[in-house]
Amino acid sequence: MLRGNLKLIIGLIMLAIFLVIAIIGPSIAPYGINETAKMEYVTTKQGGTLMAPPFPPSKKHILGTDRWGYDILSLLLYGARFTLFTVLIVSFLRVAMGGLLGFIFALNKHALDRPKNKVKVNIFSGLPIFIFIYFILYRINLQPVMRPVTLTIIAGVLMVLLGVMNVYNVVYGKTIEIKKNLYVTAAFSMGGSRWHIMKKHIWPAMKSQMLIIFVNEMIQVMHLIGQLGIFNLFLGGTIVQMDPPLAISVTKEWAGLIGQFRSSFYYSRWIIMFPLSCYLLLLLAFYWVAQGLIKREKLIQRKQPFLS
Amino acid sequence: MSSLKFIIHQILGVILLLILAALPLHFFSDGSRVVFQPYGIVEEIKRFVMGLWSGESLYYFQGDRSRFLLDDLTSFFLSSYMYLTVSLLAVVVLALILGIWFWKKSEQWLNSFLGFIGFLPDFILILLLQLLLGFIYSKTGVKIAKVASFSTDDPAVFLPILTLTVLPLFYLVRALNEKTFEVLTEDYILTAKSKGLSKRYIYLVHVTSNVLPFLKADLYKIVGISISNLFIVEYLYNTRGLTELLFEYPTHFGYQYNLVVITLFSFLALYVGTLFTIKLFLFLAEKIFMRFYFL
Repeated sequence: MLRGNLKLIIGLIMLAIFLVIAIIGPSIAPYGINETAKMEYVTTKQGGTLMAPPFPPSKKHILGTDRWGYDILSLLLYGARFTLFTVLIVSFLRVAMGGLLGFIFALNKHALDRPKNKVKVNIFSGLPIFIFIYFILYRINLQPVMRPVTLTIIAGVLMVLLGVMNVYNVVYGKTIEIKKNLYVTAAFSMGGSRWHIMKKHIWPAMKSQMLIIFVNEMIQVMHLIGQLGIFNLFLGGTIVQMDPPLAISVTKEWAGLIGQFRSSFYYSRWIIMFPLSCYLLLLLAFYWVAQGLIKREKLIQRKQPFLS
Repeated sequence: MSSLKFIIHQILGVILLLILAALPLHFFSDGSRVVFQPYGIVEEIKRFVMGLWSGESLYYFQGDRSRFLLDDLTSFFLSSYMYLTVSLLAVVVLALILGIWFWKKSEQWLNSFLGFIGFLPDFILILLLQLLLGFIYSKTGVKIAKVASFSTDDPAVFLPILTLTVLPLFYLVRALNEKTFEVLTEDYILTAKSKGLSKRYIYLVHVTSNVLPFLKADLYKIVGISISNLFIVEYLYNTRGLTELLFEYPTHFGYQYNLVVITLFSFLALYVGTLFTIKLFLFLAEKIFMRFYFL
């Protein structure tokens, strides 16, 4: 399965590392989640200076600290589990629910049924998905009274519900395509039950497709939480400070950290660089897995174009 | 029957939108518990619909000043529309060239590391571009483009258009690549080839005309993707546009239900307007091309 497929191998290894980090993260974090580095008085050759956070990367703080002195490496280790598990669980539920519905409806569709003409443009055509979550969660996510886990679950449920339709459409379309094959028609006319057709003809053809859809959904969910983070709606709650106006992530989830540190863009760049790189690496892992899977799929179903 | 279904579908959508926009006012945490007021939502919607008759809903407040909504809305709308249309026209033209006529080259590019750019979320791409330009500026002192608008008279143009072009382009080129590959495995291409038609002719006439329907069908999705990018682009580059009414005004002037609802509705107008502009462009391009090539 993996032979010669470098992208798939590297992607899976990276994902495994991220999973391990997400599970054991808090226990290997060098500092506590509420531990801050204090101002220091450093004596150098030129004389003494008062050092205040943010501290740049050093031996004491490998990835530096933010402006309140929180160790960035620790924040990332604490937040990893929220990012990774939300992405995994939400996309799994999307694929499971959307896929199941897609299979059921496609299998029960009779060949003579009129194709449904879908309404292509509606009032929501011009609105991105995150806007729905934004409006629903906006006021309960700011200064939260619910527990971070509860808020994350609410956001997760919304993300699942808003994404199911997409998966359903893809699975439905592909299943209908497979059903058109002659061997499926033959199996039907031989008296094969729907369950039999599903098990013997459709699932084997759709297996690898479902995996690709799953990985693509993970990428979509990462985009979604990232976009929410940019609008200061962090998974698990946002604490707002008025003076100066700042939004702080409760769970230290990665997309939230990016949103939170966005303002440190022009002076102390390392603060935003490290969460950004972590997020990008996770995305890259998903991307390579997806690319590897697609490549494997293409090798199986190779056709030759007549014109180069 | 199907038109009735259409109407019901649209009415349900409008009702859902009206409820959605009222949620920030009536579903919130007040510091100690979560408050949900369903009657408040109904009241809010009622007041808005009544206000539409009396014209009250068409005015909003900037601090103490009451302003006519449609006056301000038009300029914001046109700004969004310009950014969106210009970049989408670029997307369609480039996708035709790269996705169909140079499909082999672009497939190689997409499979190389470059393809990862297409999977970057919009906000990451913007942050990276801003970071890159900042870095270049600090090293060489060359200002390539504005990283954000600081006033309305001097808007950032290049980077917003670039961002709005890049992301849908990657998606579309990928889709067209696949379709072109599929078309090239068809028997009619083999027939055309065996008749001794030139490669250029086959590409222009047979391949393009068979891939174009997919592009047209995909336009609905492309415009949707672009608008969802537009939200982030306008927010992060601070350019003038409809999203400013949605995100900036509520923080400055308080959450005004009618303002938010009408802005949300105008996104539909933006979607339809852009979609038809692009369709018109494709239609005209096709007609002109036919006229020149076959006469």
